[in-house]
Amino acid sequence: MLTTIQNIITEIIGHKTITLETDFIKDLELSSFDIVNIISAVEDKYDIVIPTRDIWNIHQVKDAIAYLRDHGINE
Amino acid sequence: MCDHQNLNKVIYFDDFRSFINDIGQRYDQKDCLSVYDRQAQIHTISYQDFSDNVVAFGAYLQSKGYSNKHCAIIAENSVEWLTTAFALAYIGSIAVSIDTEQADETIIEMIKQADCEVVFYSSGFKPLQKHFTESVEFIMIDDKSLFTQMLDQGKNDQDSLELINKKTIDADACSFIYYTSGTTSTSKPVMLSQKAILFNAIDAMALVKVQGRLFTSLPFYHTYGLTCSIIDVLSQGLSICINGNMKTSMRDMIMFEPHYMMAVPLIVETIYKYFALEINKLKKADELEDFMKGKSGIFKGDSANEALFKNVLRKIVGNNLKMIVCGGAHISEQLIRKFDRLGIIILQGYGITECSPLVSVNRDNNNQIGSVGRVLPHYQVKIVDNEIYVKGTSLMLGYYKDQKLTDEAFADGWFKTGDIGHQDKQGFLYITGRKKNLIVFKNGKKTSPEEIEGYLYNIPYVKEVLAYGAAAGVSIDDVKLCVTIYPDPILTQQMASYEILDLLQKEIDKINTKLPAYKQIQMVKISENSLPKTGLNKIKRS
Repeated sequence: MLTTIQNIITEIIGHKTITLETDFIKDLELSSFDIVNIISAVEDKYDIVIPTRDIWNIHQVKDAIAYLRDHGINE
Repeated sequence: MCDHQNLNKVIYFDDFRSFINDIGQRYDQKDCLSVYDRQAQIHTISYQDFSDNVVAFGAYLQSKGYSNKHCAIIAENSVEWLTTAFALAYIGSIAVSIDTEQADETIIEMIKQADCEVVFYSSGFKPLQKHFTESVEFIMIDDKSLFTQMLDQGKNDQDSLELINKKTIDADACSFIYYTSGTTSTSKPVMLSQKAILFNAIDAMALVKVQGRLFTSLPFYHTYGLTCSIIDVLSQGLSICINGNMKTSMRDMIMFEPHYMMAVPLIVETIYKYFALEINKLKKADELEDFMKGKSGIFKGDSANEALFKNVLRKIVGNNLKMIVCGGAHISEQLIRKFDRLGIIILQGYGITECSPLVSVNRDNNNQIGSVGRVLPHYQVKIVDNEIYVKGTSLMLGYYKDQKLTDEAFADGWFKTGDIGHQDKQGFLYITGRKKNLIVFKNGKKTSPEEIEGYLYNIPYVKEVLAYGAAAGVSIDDVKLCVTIYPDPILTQQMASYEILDLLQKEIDKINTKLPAYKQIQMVKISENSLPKTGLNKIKRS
């Protein structure tokens, strides 16, 4: 799952060094627009809908993975 | 003063009843509002049908006894949001627009503060209902079949239809309440009349000529979104695509292929960032940089590189985009010039909620890059001690239930904007800073440092705190929310610095989960000494 999310982030915003601890705002300096676009691509990939209000609780890559696992998605 | 020469021909309306009836008749079967659903299917309503629905919903609300009541709207952008707000205005009720990004506690406080008796909500906000007594009615507006049922009831209720069309509407009375960030910890409820908003919207069209199709993703719960991206454009009969979801806004923009769009700097920067990224992937970054050094207005797309840039741009904004009107926060001149080079005009404007909101905007045929344009026909501006004062038709009536704050905001009928600026001999207005102590983000949102500091003072280990916006380093306009904390020396005396920072960071992470993304605290600094104070013993803000 980490590789998939790494690929999505690289595709959308160009950053290549992504780890579980990478923080969208502190490390990648992403705007809310970028974060939403990444999450939107994650939604399409895993066929899930993440409410916008939940997005703001996803700070790091590992939070996104935990969210997906909590909602029954495993890879 | 505005250059009143060569204004575009426009028709002014005092109240929403005459406005809604007029656009329904005048533009009839033309496409009015379009939305794309999750599956990218477009749904469009004509001007006549939209106008009929507003009247029908008004009749329904009248029959339910909601006339002359304060009604909150807490929902994402949708046709139903607009139908509800316009129907409330149509029957003389007061629409209280609530920012959906705020924390639940803030939303509840706003609804209570504005004395709302009815709450129109989208399903995600249903859990809020438990915080209110049964005397506050909750009506869901994002269930299509339920909304259609209410419209049908209104359409068939001849008595209510007759009644609402006979009612006298006071166009100068409060009809909308919008919240705006104040310099205190709580937002201020701004009261606006129907005439103020309608005149402001039409004034914008007297200065800017729009044609074709418009795309907007600006939230309607801000006056900028409602007045400047909906009401003004409806008055001109354009086809508008509305987006209520950041996740799909880029997709919708490409699909709708607008001729022009309304935006905040964040959107404009995002478009350019994605454009540059695509160019980078094609290994043409150097060529783009060289191209950007050229003069504006020569982008024909006929050389190989220009053709490539044009094609990449089309994939991001569609084939037609010619103009973006940008407001809400400062946008860099450099970015405006880059878009100019790519054949897209960016018109910068300036507004403030208390002014409905637009004060000035550049004209499509006279764009002074770096300025925020010319003052609207129904506004006057004067500069007092470098601060911009505004007077005219679209000023707010005051802050709801706060006469003291209202009195402080005005000086002899002039509204004191708190923005620092000047006006040149040609009448172009320039903003150079803020007198009021607000942090302005790229998405046009604002917050007061006091609000952020208020959250942090709830942490027992915090003795003193100073919140401020710092340049994020990516561009000068990037603002990162930072705090400097002086920890309580007694409570932390046995702790090492890194332990204090770790503890505070954990507490701040908890606070961040309750805040919208732009308001989250991104950097924490620890001060070993008490923070510098003013003569009044307040923490000094530099």
